Amino acid sequence: MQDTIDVLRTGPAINPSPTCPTRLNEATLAIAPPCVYAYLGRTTEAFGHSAVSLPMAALAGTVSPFDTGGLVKHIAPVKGWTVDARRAYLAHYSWPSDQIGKLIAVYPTGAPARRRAYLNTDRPKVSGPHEIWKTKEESFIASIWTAPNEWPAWLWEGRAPNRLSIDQNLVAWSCPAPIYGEILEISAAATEPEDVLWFEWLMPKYVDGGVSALVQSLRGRQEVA
Amino acid sequence: MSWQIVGIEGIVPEDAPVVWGVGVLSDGERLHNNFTGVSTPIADLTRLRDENHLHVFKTPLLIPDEDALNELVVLMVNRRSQSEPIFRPDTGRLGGVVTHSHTKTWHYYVFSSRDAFAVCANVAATNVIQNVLYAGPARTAENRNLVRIALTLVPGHPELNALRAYLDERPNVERLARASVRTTSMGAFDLFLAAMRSEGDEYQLKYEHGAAEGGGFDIDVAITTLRAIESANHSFSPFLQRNYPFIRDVPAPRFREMRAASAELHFVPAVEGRPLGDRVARYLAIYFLQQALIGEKPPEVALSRQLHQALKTIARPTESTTLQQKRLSHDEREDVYEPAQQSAESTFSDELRVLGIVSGLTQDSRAELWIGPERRFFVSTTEDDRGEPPTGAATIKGDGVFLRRPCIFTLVRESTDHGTEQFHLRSMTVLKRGDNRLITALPSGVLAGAFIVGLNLKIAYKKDASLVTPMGTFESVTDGTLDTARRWLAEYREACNEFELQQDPTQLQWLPPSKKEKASSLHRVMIVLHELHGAALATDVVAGINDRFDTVVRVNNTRREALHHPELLHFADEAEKVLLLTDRGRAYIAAYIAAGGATTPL
Repeated sequence: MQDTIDVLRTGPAINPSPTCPTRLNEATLAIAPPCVYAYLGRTTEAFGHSAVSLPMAALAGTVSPFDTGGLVKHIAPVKGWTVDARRAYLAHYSWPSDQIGKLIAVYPTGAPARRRAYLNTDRPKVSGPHEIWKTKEESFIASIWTAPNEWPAWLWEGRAPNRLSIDQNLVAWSCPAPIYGEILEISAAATEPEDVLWFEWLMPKYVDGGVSALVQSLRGRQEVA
Repeated sequence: MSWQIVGIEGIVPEDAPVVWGVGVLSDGERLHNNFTGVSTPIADLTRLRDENHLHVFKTPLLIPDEDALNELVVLMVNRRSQSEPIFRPDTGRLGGVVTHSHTKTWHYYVFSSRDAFAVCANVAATNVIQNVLYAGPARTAENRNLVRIALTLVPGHPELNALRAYLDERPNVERLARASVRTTSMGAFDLFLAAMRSEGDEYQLKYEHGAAEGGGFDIDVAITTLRAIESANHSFSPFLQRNYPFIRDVPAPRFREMRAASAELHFVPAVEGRPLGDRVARYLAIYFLQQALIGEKPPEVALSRQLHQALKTIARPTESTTLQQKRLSHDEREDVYEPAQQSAESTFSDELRVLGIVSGLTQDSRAELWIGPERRFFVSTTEDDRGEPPTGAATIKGDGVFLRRPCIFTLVRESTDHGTEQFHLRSMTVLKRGDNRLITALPSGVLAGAFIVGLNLKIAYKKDASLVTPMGTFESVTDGTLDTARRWLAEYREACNEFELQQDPTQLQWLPPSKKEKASSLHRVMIVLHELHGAALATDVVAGINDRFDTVVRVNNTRREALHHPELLHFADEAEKVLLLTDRGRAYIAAYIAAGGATTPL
């Protein structure tokens, strides 16, 4: 639970273990320095423990239109390519995060139906990113948005080196109900004016019901934003 | 295919008293999240568990096929927790429980939706508040813990947060509790907190002139005034118990002091030795009395003749006697004026003969009627609008077997120019199997508060406990439980809505709502589309709304309505330029307009 408060205060940081799956995937894909991963409008897992929601501009790093971890083990056909080919594929479809506004204007586009489809995890109508960002280079052509791949293959991913800072950017957060109960207890014990003020700022942003309830409530807002 | 809840999102600490969250649904091949719409292969279950994304149950809970698409919420109550009796839902009374089960450590309940869970969570919050208000000293560590647990179920509950602020005297807790409450509920938070903190507070009435002229107060006038205060208290009791369900009873006002020489009556909420709940109930009763005396009556009691008469007597015990009051939590006195006459402004509907249930009784003189899942109101069972006892009402005194059984009510609706309303019961019949009766009215489904009238529909209560109506047949309505009543009333309401939409609106008669409400965003879109013959560019619809309703909306507002009500309106194209009314939408808006719904700014 202290972990949850730390994340809410300073933002999620990387898992320091060099053997955790994320670090191993980064080594395979030559992603350096190690990153914190965030996803646009959705989460990368079907269920979750806790989540924070930040505006797109809060991310300072790199973005790609798929879950990079999937390139290592799950997303066909790229998962079967050589390491160098996978690295090249990732590099080709990676952009600085400050371009995200322009990028999402292309995929999923600003059309409300397309935006809604993205948030609903519907499969894109094209076979892969190469049909959006046209290329003739065969090494960047892969139908990763077709079966058997699933929704993580067409999810915008953001990678922030070392830490994803929250500052004043928190839109909403959620965690399991028992953890919320413990946070209530800790907040009541706060005595430093700065801490009290922070909890006062934090509490209205809580979405009860857990990560899925958070995703659902924010999806409603984004569909019509 | 068989559906199972195999777990719950997030973690489940072994010592947690209650846990709730999104159900992890499985069809044997994939895990489905009905809140986000995503699914993942069941092979991911172990990894998701190991990474604390979800908790897996030892024994899955079977889910009926018809519930498998619902947004299922799981509540777990720890059987080893001391607070288990307070948080364990009563499945016999609560609707929306898809299934429940237990192991040695946990009770499991699966709710059909967030709304169904919210009802359960609010009942738990009521139980906790009542427990704290009435069971021994309030400010204990145990109570603080109990409130904290309840807040994990309903974090924004205004009274529960106020209770947290009251119980925990650390200076910052009130700020934090306040921060958890929505702005729209802040009034409820402040009122409840003030009620609990009213130890030294006092409410005063001071009379001058007339019966108080020359010092002192004529005793006959004083008696009449005190009786009127008691009468007003009686009028508020059902309202208080309905809106503050944790109040056990509303005691008579505590008259602490009469300064005869200056004709002052002093009332206090706090009485030594009485539980906190007693103080809260007294405070709230005085609060609503003082507000009523300055013309701010809650709509539920605004038409009560008994209250009106009592307020009149309190404000002007004799023609020349005047009154000032010092409100609770105030220092200054203020003048109180005689309440304005209200009965002359009332209009009475023709008789409405409707199907419904009696869901509760208050002091055998008031019954709560349900004539649809969300049409609930109290009526007098001793007097109708003509001052006569309602025919058949005597049958509902006694053992309560009539509760939640199908009934036919003959009602008259009294409405004022201010938009308040009150129903008067003229007669009622508790249906017996084999009975056939006619009803003449249905509550409208398209316009809240309106009725379709002038009908002549046969209701047959069959030997097999089904109700056969022209709108449909409703099975097994007879066991008298809240769950059953909710179920068949919801089905009945849905069938009435269908009936309403299938009729030619020009052939129906309507009783409009007592209060004309502003057209909602949805209605505004549909009204303009209706005028544009059911199809138009979204930009034209927006221009039409802005022009007609003198407002500024954007295309996105219109798009939101199409998104949220696809059964009524939708876009004809992927670019979402052209908006169409569906067939159902056409019928709906025609009925709305015919029923008297607002089509222009109010």
